[in-house]
Amino acid sequence: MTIYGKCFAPTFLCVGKADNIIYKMKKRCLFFLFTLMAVCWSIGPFAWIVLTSFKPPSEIMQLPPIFPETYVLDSYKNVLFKSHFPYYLFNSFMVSLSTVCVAIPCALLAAYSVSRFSFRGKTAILLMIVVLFTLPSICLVAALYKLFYTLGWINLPVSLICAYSAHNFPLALFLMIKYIDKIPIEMDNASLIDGCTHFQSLRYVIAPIALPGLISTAILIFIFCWNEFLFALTFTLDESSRLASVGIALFQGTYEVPWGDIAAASVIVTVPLLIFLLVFQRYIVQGIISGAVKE
Amino acid sequence: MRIQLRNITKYYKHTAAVNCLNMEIQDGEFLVVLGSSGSGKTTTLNMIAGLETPTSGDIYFNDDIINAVPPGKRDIALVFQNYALYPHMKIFDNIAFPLRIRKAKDIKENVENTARMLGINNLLQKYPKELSGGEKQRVALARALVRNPQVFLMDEPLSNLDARLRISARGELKKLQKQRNVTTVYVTHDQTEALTLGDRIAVMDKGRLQQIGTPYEIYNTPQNTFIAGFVGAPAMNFAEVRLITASSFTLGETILESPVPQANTPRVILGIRPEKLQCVSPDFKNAIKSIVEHIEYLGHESVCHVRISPDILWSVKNTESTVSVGDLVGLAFSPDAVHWFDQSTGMRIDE
Repeated sequence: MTIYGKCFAPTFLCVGKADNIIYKMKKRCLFFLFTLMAVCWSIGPFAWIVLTSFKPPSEIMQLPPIFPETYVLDSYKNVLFKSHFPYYLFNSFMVSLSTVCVAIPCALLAAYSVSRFSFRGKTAILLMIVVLFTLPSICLVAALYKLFYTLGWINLPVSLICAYSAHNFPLALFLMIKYIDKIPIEMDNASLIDGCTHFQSLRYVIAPIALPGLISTAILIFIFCWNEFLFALTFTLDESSRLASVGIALFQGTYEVPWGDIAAASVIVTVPLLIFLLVFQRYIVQGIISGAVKE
Repeated sequence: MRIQLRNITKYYKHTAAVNCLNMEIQDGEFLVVLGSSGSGKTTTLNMIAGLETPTSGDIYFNDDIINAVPPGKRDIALVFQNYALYPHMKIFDNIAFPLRIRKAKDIKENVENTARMLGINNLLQKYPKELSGGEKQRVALARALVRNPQVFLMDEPLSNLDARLRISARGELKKLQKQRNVTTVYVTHDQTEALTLGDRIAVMDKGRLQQIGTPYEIYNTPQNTFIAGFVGAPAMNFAEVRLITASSFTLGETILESPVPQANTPRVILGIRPEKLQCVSPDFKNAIKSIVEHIEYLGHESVCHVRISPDILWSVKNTESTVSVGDLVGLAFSPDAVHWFDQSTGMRIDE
């Protein structure tokens, strides 16, 4: 086999050179085509919404959809100044932020202990958390409603913060475990020798090294809360505590569906997330861990 | 600080990583723990450091049992094999970290003095990933030195450096330890490092202490075949021999006239270091006949691998270049240079 390989390798290379380039080109074109399709597939609906939000009402319902002839900001003005939508945005922001502030520290502490210590029943606890993770929210919603109703938390944001924190905790935990597992144990040992307690070690060494992971997990949780609809719809009946996701869905006027306003609200609701991703992209990508130890 | 290990045993699940270890390290002593990987040497170090607790047995610092004292309270410093610098801190903060945690005073001054001593004061504002291996190693050393610990623990601190740097770092380390006169436990698998650095060497194998003694003792009176084969490069030559009379034995097919030890069995192991053998003419009386199989040229000398019998291959250090591959040579040695070991136990037989 090796002898054949040796004999034919040079000839194969000479003949194959031109073919090889064409093959590569084909492969590359196919790749780009596929990527383009994927991008269109996911961006398409959003682009439509963006265009719709700038259309005057007369053009919105036209079929087939057209590019607007005049770009107007009426829908945005309606949403931002003539409706309660800014309050909903504020509510959404506060609830999502609070959830992150509750879930991430808990997940960090839990992940550190799971990653670094062995204790009785560790596997069982992790298994239970996985089960929790797989529960669909629809099967929890009735029980939670009853619970919050009894507690008198309906219409209070605390109900949502509680539900979201608990519901997103498993995901946050498993992501954090992955990040902390990647940090070499020597970091812990070095800090312990330097005089840290375990908590100080987490505070001054492990958490800062895991910061990119911490931030990307936080963003993910924030986005999940921001997009959540079912709990938000069920637990907040009042306008005072309504979230943006529910706000968009309930944007109906008495006589008509204001598609332009809904489109504008949808765009507005996306903007904070985009800003978030742009600002923290550096952290998500950055590999602070490199150079810690010699691999 | 004097360190004593008494009957230390450490089990992982059901395997003993360290088995009934007894050791005493004097104040200011540089003790090298030598062993191959899996010999339990790093586990021993971690137990002295407090990163692991012994399953049974006690560790004494001076006269106090410190089994339950956390590592931060033991006043020790540990230099890791991979340096373990904190990647998110600048070098200054890395070195200052142990002081800050202990809320020490004059941190800036201390850090700068230590850095100057190790020649890294121009690196203080950099991050670990911008440093070369040698520089990282110095920073790790500085972090250990800065708070004047009572005990220095080192876990193969030089093994990630390139060969040239390793030799210079070795010298500096030894000098530094003598200057400060700090009790040091140094773990390595490199026998050259052990011989050059240690005041005493503790050789470990399979979780057990094999021998502890000065480098001279370890090299010249190895207590068993493991130590004899592990220390020294190239390794000691061994051959199973059959004793015939009080002054003759057979090695392979040759009968040699040489004093032999008082042994209970006629079957013993003969060990002789490559540098104690001489290449002579094969006709020489009492020379072992052998064929040169392969020569490693090292510049000032060469190592000849010679075949004595189908299953005995020895190496010989040779300063002359007259020998070539395929030659029939005789090997001569002085009777004093021979080490004898019991074949069944592997223990040294003293004459």
